Amino acid sequence: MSKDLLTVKNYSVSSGSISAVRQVDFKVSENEKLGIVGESGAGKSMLGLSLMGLLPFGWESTGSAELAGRELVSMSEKDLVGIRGRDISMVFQDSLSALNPMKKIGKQLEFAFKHAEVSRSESFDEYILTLMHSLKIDDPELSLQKYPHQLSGGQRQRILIGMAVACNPRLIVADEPTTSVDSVIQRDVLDVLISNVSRLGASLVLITHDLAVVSNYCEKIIVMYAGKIVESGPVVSVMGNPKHPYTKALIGSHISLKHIKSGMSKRLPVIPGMMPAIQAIPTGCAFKTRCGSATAACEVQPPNFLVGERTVSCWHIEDQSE
Amino acid sequence: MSIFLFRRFLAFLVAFFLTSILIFVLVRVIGGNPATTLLGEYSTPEAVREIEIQLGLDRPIVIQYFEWIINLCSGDLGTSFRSGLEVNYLLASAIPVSISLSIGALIVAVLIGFPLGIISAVKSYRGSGTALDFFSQIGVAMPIFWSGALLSMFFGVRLGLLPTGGWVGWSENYAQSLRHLVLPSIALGIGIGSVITRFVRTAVVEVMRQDYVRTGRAFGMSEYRALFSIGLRNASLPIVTVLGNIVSHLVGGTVITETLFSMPGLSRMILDNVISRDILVVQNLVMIIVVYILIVNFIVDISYFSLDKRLRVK
Repeated sequence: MSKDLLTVKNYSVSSGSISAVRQVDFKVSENEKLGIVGESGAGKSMLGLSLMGLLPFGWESTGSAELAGRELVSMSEKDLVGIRGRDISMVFQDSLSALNPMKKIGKQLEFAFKHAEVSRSESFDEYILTLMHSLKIDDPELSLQKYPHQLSGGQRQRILIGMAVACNPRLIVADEPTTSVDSVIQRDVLDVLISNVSRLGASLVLITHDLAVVSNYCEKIIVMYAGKIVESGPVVSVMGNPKHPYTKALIGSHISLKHIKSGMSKRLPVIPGMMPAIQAIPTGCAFKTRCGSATAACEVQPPNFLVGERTVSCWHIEDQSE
Repeated sequence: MSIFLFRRFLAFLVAFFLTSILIFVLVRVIGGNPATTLLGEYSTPEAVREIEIQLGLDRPIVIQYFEWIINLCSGDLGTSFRSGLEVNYLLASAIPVSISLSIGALIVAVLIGFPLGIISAVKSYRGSGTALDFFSQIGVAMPIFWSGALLSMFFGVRLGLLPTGGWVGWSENYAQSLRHLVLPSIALGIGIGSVITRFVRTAVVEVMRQDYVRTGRAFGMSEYRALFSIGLRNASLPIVTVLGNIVSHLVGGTVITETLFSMPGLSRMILDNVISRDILVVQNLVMIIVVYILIVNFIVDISYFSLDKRLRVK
């Protein structure tokens, strides 16, 4: 059993009476890859940003989030500046807007490196070039001299990954790292991310809405709905035998080759209705409005029931088998 | 870079000739025969004719235009037929006044605009930012003739600290020149400074909410470092564009300010000559302002190069 790196307890992210993340608990062990899935607006990105202490103005996190024994929630901005990049770092989505359009790639990478003051046997330039190779960037010397708009989306995303891994952080939060990348090269970009995470022995929190990505790359999964964790546990058991109605529906709406082969006459499976907006989350179970098995019991928020190694937040868990 | 400069220079020339034609035509369309104006209402046709020949108004209009342009380019701005003095001589005393006023006003405006704009951007979500925003709105809305009159009433008349108007040449007594410059510069600079405040604020707020600022902070950049190394740099392009426009429009402000503080500057000179229908002088003076504005815009274009290195990339 490896040590816990990040321990999140009773953690919420809110602005006034509005909450994007509501009382979540989870752990990330050392060397572990955790996938967080959910629809847009489920609070995944806000959760990621809040761990970095980069919430938009007016938002704050409460509860507890300990990274290697240090509490992030009450940490001062000065201390946060010290750990960002070094202990915890982030890969952002939309690589074009996440890179400064007016600075050369090399300069931007340099900053991500310099601040870290990582002791290195090789020279600074050598280190950058080694990293560029591990990112599988063609012609690294030339790419360093370019501006973000001169690179392809995939190349830019790799640069962002490079910035995130530059200072050997212990935890990397990747917020939909492949949304802005052509689907053909999404896999390449993810492979680069995963190989770098493994190389550093870091832990990864991979935020995505792509279940296939999580089942391919992660060991643990968290399914979020309207700011709450509805189901979490080992990827194999959650994906193979989902317990929560929402997880079932999410996996059920995944398009596979079967659907395509069966012809267009068959409609794609969807979850009826919409996830409630964060201003209007109903009391009790938030999924009850779209859930086929909802009953009067669902008016009360279900606790996180333990089923084997996983937690499920539902009153209607039919079978208790793993 | 050289291709860019060459193209900008061509654009400069085209703009110069197009505006010169426009001014030449407009001044004549406005009407009023300068010869009649000069001689008075009861002049004889013979006398008018004689003056017209003397001023060259009898020749074909195209020839008149080219003669004017050639003289203008060779630095001969002609003679004011009213005072009989050379326009170059009149300009030599007027231009330093206008330039001093413009520079003074710009210094006041930049000293107000940049710090307040940046503070107001940083505090944009807080009360102090809203308060600054409110005061800059008032600053923009205040007309020069009103704020200028208030200033000269308070500091000039009530306190007697500074002269309420007039001008002393730099070569005569520069301390006196400075004293004469303070109130007009502030009067003109407050409005411009408020405009700059608002633009700096908007540009910086806009840049600071960009994702790449967050990226910088995610890798250990402090908020203030992000503001100075990313925020101001990336906000500089829109700010320089606006500064260029402001410097161009300053000419309009100097007309009112020079009149209000009775300063013998270029704008006052134009106004006087428009009233006395000295059309040759007017068209020359307006052309000088056109060249000034074109040069300012040219400098703005060039400064993009030093601010945005992307432009140097092929």
